[in-house]
Amino acid sequence: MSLPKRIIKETERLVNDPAPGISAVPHDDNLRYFDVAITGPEGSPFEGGIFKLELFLPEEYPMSPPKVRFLTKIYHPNIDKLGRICLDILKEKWSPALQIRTVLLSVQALLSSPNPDDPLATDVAKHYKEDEKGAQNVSREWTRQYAS
Amino acid sequence: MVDLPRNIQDTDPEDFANELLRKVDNSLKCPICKAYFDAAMYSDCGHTFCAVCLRESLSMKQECPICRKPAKELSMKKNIMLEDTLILWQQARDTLLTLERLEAANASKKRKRSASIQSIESDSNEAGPSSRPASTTVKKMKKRAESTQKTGDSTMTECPMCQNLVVEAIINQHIDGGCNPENDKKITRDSQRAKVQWSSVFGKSASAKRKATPISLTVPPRGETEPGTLEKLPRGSYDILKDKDLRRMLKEEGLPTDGETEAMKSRHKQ
Repeated sequence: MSLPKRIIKETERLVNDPAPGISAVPHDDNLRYFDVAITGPEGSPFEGGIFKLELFLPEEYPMSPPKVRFLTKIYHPNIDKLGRICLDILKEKWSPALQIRTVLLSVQALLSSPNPDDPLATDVAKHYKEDEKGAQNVSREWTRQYAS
Repeated sequence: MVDLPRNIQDTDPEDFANELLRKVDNSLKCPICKAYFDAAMYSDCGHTFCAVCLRESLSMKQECPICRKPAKELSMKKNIMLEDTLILWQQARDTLLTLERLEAANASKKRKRSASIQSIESDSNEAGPSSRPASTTVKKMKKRAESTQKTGDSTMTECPMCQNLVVEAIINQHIDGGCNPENDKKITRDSQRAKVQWSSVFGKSASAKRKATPISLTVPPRGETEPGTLEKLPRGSYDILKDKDLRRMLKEEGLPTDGETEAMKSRHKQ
């Protein structure tokens, strides 16, 4: 199965002109599988951390969204223990006009603005709702411990 | 740096160095497949995609992939003007790329050489200061076009592409026409005719207006390049079909016939 031109174009741009704080490099043996690193946004509890993710482009891409998962442990109400991400554009709000770059920028934005009202990790969300300061401190601690 | 498989149908050569030209180039590519529009079509909101890309997307979700406004396959329309623009742009693209490359080559040559050796090349690059960044290509081309129009019709100049002597006034059309001497004759004829006709246009003659379009003669006839003229596959109502009929229809299109009824329906739709 050959790689669609769109994926080649996207990869070229990701590698040659990366978005700030985001790197995505395809595997040599599988150009649909990317190693991603996102730096924690400034001013967020994740600042200073480098978070590793995996991104996979299914056969139906771009008609289906890419599959993205955090590999680095993270304390965030919308990201669960397995690294799965609760983000609308990765599910029902996906559009084929979106691309890897926009997805990763959205993930980065999610780190800046956690949304405990639409949680995936319920315990973390509860913590964020009841004691935001305390929860942010745990996030900072996890960032220091696992993402640096 | 990652090495990408180069063998894969990457038809367009490298991009423009000039950022603006690169943007224009990209604006003629489909937001879904990132290739030049193939049978450009749009729905009610006006955002344009390849016919196949838009249809496939609408079959999954009935909204515009860009603005998410409701959109239906039945309301898809051809974007004829954009297709014409795309054809012209693809013709002009090679010329622009070559000029851009020449520009870069000249600029680096000139940096090395002393002013005294600048002979033929600098003549053809009228009024060019000794080194010029590649980003001014468009401006320079305009300048060149102006200066050729000022000079008389009969001045000969060396074509930067084929090195033949060409009437300076038609050098741009000569390059656009792929350096074909046969083309040049036509262009000369056309431009003479155009001049006459333009004067009658300015004399408010309406009939001349219609004929005075010599440039469009270089556009290939629509039938050849337009995929939109392809016959549309008939679309039946699947709900009244039995599984057996559905399998037969899939077989006729050379598609696999396994899976559930719904899967077969959507496969045949595509």
